[in-house]
Amino acid sequence: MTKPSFAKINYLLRPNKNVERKLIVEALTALNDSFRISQYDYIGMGSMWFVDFILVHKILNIQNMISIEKEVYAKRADFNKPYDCITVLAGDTTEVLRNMSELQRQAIIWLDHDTGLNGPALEDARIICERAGSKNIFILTVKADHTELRRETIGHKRFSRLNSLKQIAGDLVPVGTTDRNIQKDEFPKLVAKMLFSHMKSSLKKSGRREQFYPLFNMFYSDGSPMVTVGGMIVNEEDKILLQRSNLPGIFDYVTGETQFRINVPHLTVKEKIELDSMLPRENAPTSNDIEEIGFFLSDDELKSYHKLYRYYPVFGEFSL
Amino acid sequence: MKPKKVHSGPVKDFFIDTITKDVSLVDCILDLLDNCLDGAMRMNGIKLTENRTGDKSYNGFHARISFDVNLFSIEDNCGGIPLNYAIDYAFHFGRRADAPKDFEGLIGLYGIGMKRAIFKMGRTIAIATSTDNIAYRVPIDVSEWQKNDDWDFDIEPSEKFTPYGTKIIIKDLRPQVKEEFSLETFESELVRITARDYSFFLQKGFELTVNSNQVTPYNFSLREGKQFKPIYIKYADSIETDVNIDIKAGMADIPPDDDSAEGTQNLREVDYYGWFVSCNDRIVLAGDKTYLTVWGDDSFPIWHPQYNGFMGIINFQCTDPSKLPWTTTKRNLDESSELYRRAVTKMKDATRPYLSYTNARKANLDEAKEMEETASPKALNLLEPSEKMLVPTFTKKDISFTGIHYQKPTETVKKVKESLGDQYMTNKDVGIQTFDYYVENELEEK
Repeated sequence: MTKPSFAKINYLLRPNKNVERKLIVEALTALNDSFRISQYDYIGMGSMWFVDFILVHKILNIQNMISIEKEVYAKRADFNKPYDCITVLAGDTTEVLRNMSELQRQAIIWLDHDTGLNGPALEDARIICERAGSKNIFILTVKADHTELRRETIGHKRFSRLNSLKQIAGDLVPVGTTDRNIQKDEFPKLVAKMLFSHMKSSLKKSGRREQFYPLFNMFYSDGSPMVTVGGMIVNEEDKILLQRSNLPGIFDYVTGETQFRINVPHLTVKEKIELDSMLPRENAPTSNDIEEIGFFLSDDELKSYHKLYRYYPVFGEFSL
Repeated sequence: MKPKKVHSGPVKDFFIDTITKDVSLVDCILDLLDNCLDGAMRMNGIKLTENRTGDKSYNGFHARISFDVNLFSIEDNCGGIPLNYAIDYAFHFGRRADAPKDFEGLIGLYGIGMKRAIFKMGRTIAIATSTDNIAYRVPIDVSEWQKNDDWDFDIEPSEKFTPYGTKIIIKDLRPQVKEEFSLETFESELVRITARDYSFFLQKGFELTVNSNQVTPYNFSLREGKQFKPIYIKYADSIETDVNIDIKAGMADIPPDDDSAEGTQNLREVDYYGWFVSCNDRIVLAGDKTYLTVWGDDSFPIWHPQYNGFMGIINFQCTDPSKLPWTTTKRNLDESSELYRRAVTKMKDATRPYLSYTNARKANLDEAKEMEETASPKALNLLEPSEKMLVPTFTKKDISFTGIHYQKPTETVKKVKESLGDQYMTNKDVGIQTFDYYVENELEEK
């Protein structure tokens, strides 16, 4: 079912994306004892709004932050940066990462791309897996829109979805993948799987002993289907330390390689207040429960909201 | 007289390290696979033949490869390893000089493949094999074997089993092997490489599975049409007259519109352009674009992206595999072999018409493209012999042509494409259409 337009209107505000950021930062907070996260650098793509930078600075108290921004927008980004401890580096991510000495230090690196696997994501990830040392946290977001695959045209050739995926991702495409894995519900899982596989093989291919320890695999859609995978590059010692932190035991959204779906609905303030007044409770309200009150949400959305309502953002207008 | 015993421990350590060093994990697995194919050939007396369609001489034979982080296994129904073969080659080190002449035309050559493969992978090995008249097991505990002075392996008789074949299970995998097996990309790589390098065996009916996934052969083809015909020549080497050679070359794919490096860097099919060299049907060099084949050798042009779309394949066949131009790993060509040098001359001749064509088509692009489109892919084993490669020739025109090449910001080009009404058009077409637009609107004489 395609979403009606009122569900898309909030696109810029992106409640699911907003929830995802909060979840990841919350989980990282729990690593502070073992890994002194507040001493880390943050390397991200803050755009003009720096939403993740603000969160990371406030919650994790990270002081040294770098935002990578396309050359044409870098000046404007620099003007908009909310804190003095943010440096804006101008250029394409791939180029900037290649020349970045900070990768030798400990950092949370979150490459929040809005492009798919055909964008710079795979090459960026390779650079990080080749260079970032143990204890580095690497999070990668890409678009997982299967409909973009069919259109892939290289030279004079047009490719089927599977073919076109193979053109982009080569051996990352698991053996036995068929066009059936490249449809709406399955593709985000496949994309995450390939990204994890890419991190692992990139580390191995660069002759390193460290492993990529998966923590996050999230899927959400605020209009475009997006997949975020993340984890820590660890040596044996840090792996034990990370396992001891027991993140999956504390947060049910730290699922390792299993995909966690964020699917909170777009709610009016009135609806949110009504729903919140029923929470917390053990089982999610059903769509029947809600229909009695007077509005409609799918069971899926209600389950997601039930799980994540504490992170749900409220946006409002204010006059300046 | 019994040979004098020497303390062989350190020598064996050195031996194991040395023979496993120059070979990759994929190569090791392919070594074991070669043994399966040799078995099938031995069992049915399959003769080296030309690859024609309908040749299903490997029908009914299979090999099944499975692996995970704990275990590797390969199982076949290819007739088992005859005892004398085991004693003389398979479980003895090096081939005995007094060993009888092997069955003719086998791929397995050096008797070392199996041992190297198993030492490379793990430390506990179980081999069980059954032929129609004998069955035995060879259990190998590498640590124990290293302590021992004896180089040969113990062979234990066992009950016969069917289908006659061999099963090898390797445990206590080496750490690096475990790691590679844990990568999903390794499985994809193995499937991709076997589909390509064993394509001709798979096409002849051999069935191969990797972790239960059936490997489908890569379908090598060249385009044929009214104005296009691949070259296909067969001959025997002038000196080693029992080595039969065939060469096929031509247009596998339509040449790229954008032949700049950046335009073709994302083309994965590029792996399948260039020269392939195969020995007894086993591909040993794939999609080569270097001096190992023809490119940049003496005065021959070096590879250029403009040649993408070209494919040539040369197959050497001989009942005596030691005459073929390959190295011990069988994944590599012995490019210094005189036999091979003689063949390279013919490969160059086979390549030249295509290279000239890619230049000539530039001045007659529309015409050329139209003709290219009408040529359709034809499987290699369907090709008819042809002494020459047929490519279109163009009548000289009165006007001469010149090329224009320039850089513009990607964003702007994207906008122009949208404005021209096709966001997926090639950069080249953007250039042509915008140029034509200028000519149309600004020049009086066109």
